[in-house]
Amino acid sequence: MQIQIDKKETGFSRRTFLKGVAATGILTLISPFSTHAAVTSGGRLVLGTTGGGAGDSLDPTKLTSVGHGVMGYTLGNVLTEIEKDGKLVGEIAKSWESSADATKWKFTLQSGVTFHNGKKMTSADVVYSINLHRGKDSASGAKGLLGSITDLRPDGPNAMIVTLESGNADLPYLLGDFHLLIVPEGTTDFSAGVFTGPYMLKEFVPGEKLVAVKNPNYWKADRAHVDEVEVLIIGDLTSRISALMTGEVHIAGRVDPQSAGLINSTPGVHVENHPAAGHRPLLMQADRPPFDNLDLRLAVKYALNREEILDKVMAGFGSLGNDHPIPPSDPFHAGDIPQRVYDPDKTAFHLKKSGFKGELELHTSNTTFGGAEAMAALFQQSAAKGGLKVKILREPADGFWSNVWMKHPFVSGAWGGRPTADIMLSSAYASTAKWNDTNWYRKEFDQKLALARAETDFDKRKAYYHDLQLMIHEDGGAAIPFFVNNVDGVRDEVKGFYPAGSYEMSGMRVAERVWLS
Amino acid sequence: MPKTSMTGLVLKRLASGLVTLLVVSVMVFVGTEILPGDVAEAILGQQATPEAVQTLRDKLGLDRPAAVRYVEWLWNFAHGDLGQSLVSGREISDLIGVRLHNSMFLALTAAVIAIPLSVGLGLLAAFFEGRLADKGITASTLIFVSTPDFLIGYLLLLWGAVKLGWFPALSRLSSGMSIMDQLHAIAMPCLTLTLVVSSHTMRLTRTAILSVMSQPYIEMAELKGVSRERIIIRHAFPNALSPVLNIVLLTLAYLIVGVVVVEAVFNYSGMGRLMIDAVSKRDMPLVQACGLIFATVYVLLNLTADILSILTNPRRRHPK
Repeated sequence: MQIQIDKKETGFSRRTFLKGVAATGILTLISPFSTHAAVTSGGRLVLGTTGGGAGDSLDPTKLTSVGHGVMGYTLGNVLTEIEKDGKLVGEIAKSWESSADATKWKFTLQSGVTFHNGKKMTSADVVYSINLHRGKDSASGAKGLLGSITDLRPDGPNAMIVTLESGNADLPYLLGDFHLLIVPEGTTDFSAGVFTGPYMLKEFVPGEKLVAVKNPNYWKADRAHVDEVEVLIIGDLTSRISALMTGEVHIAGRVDPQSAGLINSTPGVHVENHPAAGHRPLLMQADRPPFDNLDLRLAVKYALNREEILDKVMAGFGSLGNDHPIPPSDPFHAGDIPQRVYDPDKTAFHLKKSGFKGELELHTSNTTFGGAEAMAALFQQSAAKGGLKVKILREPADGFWSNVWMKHPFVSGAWGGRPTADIMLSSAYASTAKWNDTNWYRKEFDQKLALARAETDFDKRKAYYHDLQLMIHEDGGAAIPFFVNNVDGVRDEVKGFYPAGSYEMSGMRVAERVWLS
Repeated sequence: MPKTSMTGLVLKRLASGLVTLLVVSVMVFVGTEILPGDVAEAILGQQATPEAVQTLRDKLGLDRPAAVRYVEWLWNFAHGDLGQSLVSGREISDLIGVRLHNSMFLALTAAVIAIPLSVGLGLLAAFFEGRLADKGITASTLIFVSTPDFLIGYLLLLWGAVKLGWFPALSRLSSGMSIMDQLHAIAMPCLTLTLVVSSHTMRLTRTAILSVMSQPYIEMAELKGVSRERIIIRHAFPNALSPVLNIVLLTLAYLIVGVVVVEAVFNYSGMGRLMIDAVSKRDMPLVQACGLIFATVYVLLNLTADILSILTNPRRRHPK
């Protein structure tokens, strides 16, 4: 009896000890950030990305694609940065404050930042860099974001004052845009690639590659871990994945959902994916027949089998949409609006009520996204069960955005993620929006949107955004079945990768965040 | 006199070549004009504001009439100025230099392998006409000719790079590479091109030889007791040389201008990828430059094929 107890005791304590060791091990694995010892410096990081051409340049006003963004963040910094879980933190801007109506802003800048050429960065450089994208002659992709800025000036060497036409609580988010890289004042020729960022330009071949070496004087102590970074433009999806498999690149950006499973089942590589804000709506123009009829819009919305589309078209890489453009990952997402589900009976009910007897013509093309035609076909079948007849018209990829989108009453659309709820709603749902692609004009919506934009109290803002999402959900012309995920293929030797922001490749900032084991 | 007729012919062909190039340039221009959207929209992307697009359009002078822009381009081109890329503003000659060299390197390496191989296989197939070797060669080349080049490329990529790891998946040349490294880098695109073009050349060589083989003088040689080997090499092949040379040069032309898809599959930086970029961005001067280089190669190789076929064919040297 005595012996048995002893045995038991010893066994128990030994097991506890082992468990303890294992748990410690697991903890270290789970949180590599908890200790700096886990970071290893050195090595050569190769990134395979998309969206470059022979016309590329390092001029910040000419950046357009994710590939450009990755190159930009390899060499430079902007004012703010989106961290894990969408949290906004300062980068070149250390802190900021605004007036109560969010029209006047003061940004305090990091001191001790130097450019790659050794020059010390001051507020004059920052003002110059932002002004590159403003003004009548600007052809920058960031021009629209900065449209409400009326004045921008230095406030001493380490601060900047921004004045807005009307209040915008999201200004710090807008200034985190990848175009707004800080350059030395007066730069007009950007070929030397002088920025403030983690790596310094070694070689740039437009449309092919960018090679950069570690900046020994980088102002962030805990970033930029490898000795050299090479960013390759690999437009072809299959080559990109092959290069990942063979180890020629460490990270392959923008992997399609169908290949993601294949990558995950291959040893040595895995997929990093996280919910993003991009979505693929069916767009109905709400101001003209046949969709000026709310019941017909509802018939279409109930006819989408969202789960099936997400599962079959996106291989599950995405999250369900609820007919408004704010994704579940957004802090202002209205999660309490009941999820609309596929219901052929409701489709039949609303179809009957609408009095529509004909056949809907859906214009679609895989240029919007790879699965657009497949999604249209699934919709056609699920709609038929509710008695709604749909004819699919496949349009040529070339010219889809200029000749089909916003021209026909019923088309497949595609929206990339926007950094804030305000930008999304102002770009596509405000009455004055250039790309109001559902021709949906509601005064009440516009008024509430302006109120929400200028509101600095989070809870009040959230309440406004809730109402705005509900209006689109109930009345709007966009049927939004799902939000996409950002999917990257990553080799196992890459450590420290985490998804952040609305873009793939760790919000395009992968070069300064990861290290190689 | 054969000499004067030859010079006359060359001059005539060169002149018609120039006219061809002019027509090509008009067609390329009209083509880029017909494409929906313009360079300003293409540069700024789908979600650029109309103001930004208009600003850029003004900057690039795109609102002037198409004919004015064409004539201006032609005038500069005729004076040796290829112009600047609309998208990047860089000199087109700078953009093309390395890429043209890369494309030529790939095409010529493929030609060095593909042409002797396919002509040799053609001769073999003709020699063993109707027998197993002939059927085997014909069938296997038939498989490659009916498989799209990108699929062959992807299959090689899957096996050569991903599964076996013998070759890189990305074919990249850099300045410091030794010639062996360069050949290793382009091995797979080169093999793809070889497989794609060999079947054509092989089958046409076989047909050319066999058509000569049905001539009475070959029958005569056979009756005389000359061996089949000797008949093919001494009598049939020289007489089939003219069509074979034609095929070889057309193959070469195809290799140089037809690498577009293969370059995309292996991410090889050559003229093909440059031209795809240029077309998708509506970069008219750059498309023109690429188009004219391709057209010039084609015209010149055709001309060479003609001249060689005359030189190897006494009957054409002395036209009635």
